[in-house]
Amino acid sequence: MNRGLNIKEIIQSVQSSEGENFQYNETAILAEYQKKEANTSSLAIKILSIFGGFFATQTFLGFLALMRLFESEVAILTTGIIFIIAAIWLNKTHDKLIFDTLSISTYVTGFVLLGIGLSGLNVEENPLIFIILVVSLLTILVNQTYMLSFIAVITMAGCLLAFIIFNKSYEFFHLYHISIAYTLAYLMLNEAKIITFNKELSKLYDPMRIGLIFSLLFGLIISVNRAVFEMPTSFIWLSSVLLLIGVMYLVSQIMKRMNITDKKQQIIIYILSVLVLSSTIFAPSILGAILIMLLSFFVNYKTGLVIGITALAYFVSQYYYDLNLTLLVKSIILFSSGILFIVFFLFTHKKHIANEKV
Amino acid sequence: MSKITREDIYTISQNSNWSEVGVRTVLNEKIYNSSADWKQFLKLLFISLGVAFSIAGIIFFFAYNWASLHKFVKIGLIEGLVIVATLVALLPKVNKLVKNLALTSAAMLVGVLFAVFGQIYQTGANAYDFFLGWTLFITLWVLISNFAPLWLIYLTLINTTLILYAEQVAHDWSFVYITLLLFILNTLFLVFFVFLGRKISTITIPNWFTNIIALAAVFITTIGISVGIFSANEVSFWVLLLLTAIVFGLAVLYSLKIKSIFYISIIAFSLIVIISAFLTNLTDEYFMFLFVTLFIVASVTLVIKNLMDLQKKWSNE
Repeated sequence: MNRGLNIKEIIQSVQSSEGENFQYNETAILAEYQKKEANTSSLAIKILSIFGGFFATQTFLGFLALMRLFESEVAILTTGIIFIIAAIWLNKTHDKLIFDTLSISTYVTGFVLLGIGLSGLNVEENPLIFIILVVSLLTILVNQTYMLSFIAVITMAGCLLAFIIFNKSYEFFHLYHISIAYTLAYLMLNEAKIITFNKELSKLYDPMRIGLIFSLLFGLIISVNRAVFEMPTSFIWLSSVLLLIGVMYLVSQIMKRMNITDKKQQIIIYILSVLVLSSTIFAPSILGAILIMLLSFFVNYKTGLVIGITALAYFVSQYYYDLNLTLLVKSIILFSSGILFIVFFLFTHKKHIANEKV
Repeated sequence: MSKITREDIYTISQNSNWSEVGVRTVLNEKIYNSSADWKQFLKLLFISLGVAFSIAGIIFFFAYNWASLHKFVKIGLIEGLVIVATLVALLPKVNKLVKNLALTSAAMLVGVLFAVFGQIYQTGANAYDFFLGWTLFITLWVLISNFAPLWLIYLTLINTTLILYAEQVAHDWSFVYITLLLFILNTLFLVFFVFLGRKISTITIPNWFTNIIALAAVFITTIGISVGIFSANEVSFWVLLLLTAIVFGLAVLYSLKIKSIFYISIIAFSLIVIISAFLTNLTDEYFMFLFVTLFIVASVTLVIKNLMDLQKKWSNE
């Protein structure tokens, strides 16, 4: 009941700031809150439900396998398509938690079956990836629930990566990193514009945001582990430079938010940032992680922040691990970087104290 | 305006014609991080990066020179670190959390010390006595620390020692027998801690701690019984089954008494897995898999519904 009063209060203040043209559907809003309240469950229940959905799907597959379904590729293909459609329908019509997790499991299994069926029918890689891409896109257009949309976004990104890897056109990795990074930045910095555009886009905002973050990370992880994929390391700096531009734009936004208006200070900060970050010119993954971290903190998106920080720790560790220098040189580089950061800390600490005194 | 969350903004904007400018203003003022938040964040970021990189630099320096260090220097160095960590834990002016973290670091360093010892003298012994030695030597610290993460590390070490002993020495112990021993070990610790927390009011046992032990115990017995169903008949299997039934029953009663759904949830999940394993073992026919699928969906749905009802009932009391 407290929540109900709180909502009414919020709507009142929105109305007062918007003016007379503000119209809202009070019953729908209250209904949504009631639905959320009814569906709150503890972590234990959520995990129970995820495992339940997963095991149920697998045993059902076992049943189908024993029914000798998998001796025919067409049967596999059809089953995959039925699973996908069933998952979308189930998710759209039912709201309970168990149906949510069941539909996720069914959806993913459907895609796996689709892929297996198509490749069994000797469909070429490119058309196969394209079909999966289109099916994921259709999922988002038809249904805007959180989990399925998230999986669909990641699947689409995976398809793009698969295109690049299977066709061995590794130059396109740069295009991939940059498009996803810039799309993510646009998405996160223009939250208001997107969620007020229409209801569907508003529902898709959250899954798209986290989906893009994961897609960017996947791309970066793959490109960092390029030895595994035997990729040539040409033009690696291209991604880094373009990501650096993105980070610099973000730095300008941050300075605006921190009210740093003194031109001299701004220039010093720009130069220092470029200097420090240019040491990562051969590691676009580090810049990507920094971008995710700063964007998430800017819009107060805690999940993204944690992901960004973890990714940063991982990528920096991997960078130094892979670095082809003796341990002595590495230790000198690390120690001097450490001292540099401590100097930055003292600098910001002093400014903070100075500002407090004022 | 009282506290407004992102969810509120989304819900309202989806069901109204709230303008872009309006939403942006609210987001900027109420949700996005302010200048003060940024200052805090940057300070924390720089000091963490600074400390992490400096320590990494020092570690790399030692790693570079490690092979050429004399063995007394190697062992002396780590023993020195252990002493420093222990002294920090003893200093009166340090706050409790730092003391506990120092003691935990000392405990981990004991492990490092033994590992280095093994590397220098090529003891090449079975790994289990490394863990056994480590466990024994930090026992006193763990007992006086009253620090849950350290206790958790300690319990992990005991479990590891037992598992490695079984793997490397006691070759005649069957899988089910090993899980029986592990189950008894972890359940005894769980019961000990739960009673300790309830009887002695000055000690608080954090929930996450007992929950992790409970999870481990349930996980172990679930695997033990499931494997036991598919393998040959043996005494340990029936003992494990009986013991599990008693422990599960008591745990459910206890759970209902303290009004927590955690134990009930994990026990329900364990029972579903065990029953599914039992059903699958009954017959190889294809209809059994279909039956198991339906069983899982139905049972999980029922369990979740009942758990959520229980939660609602308890939160309304």
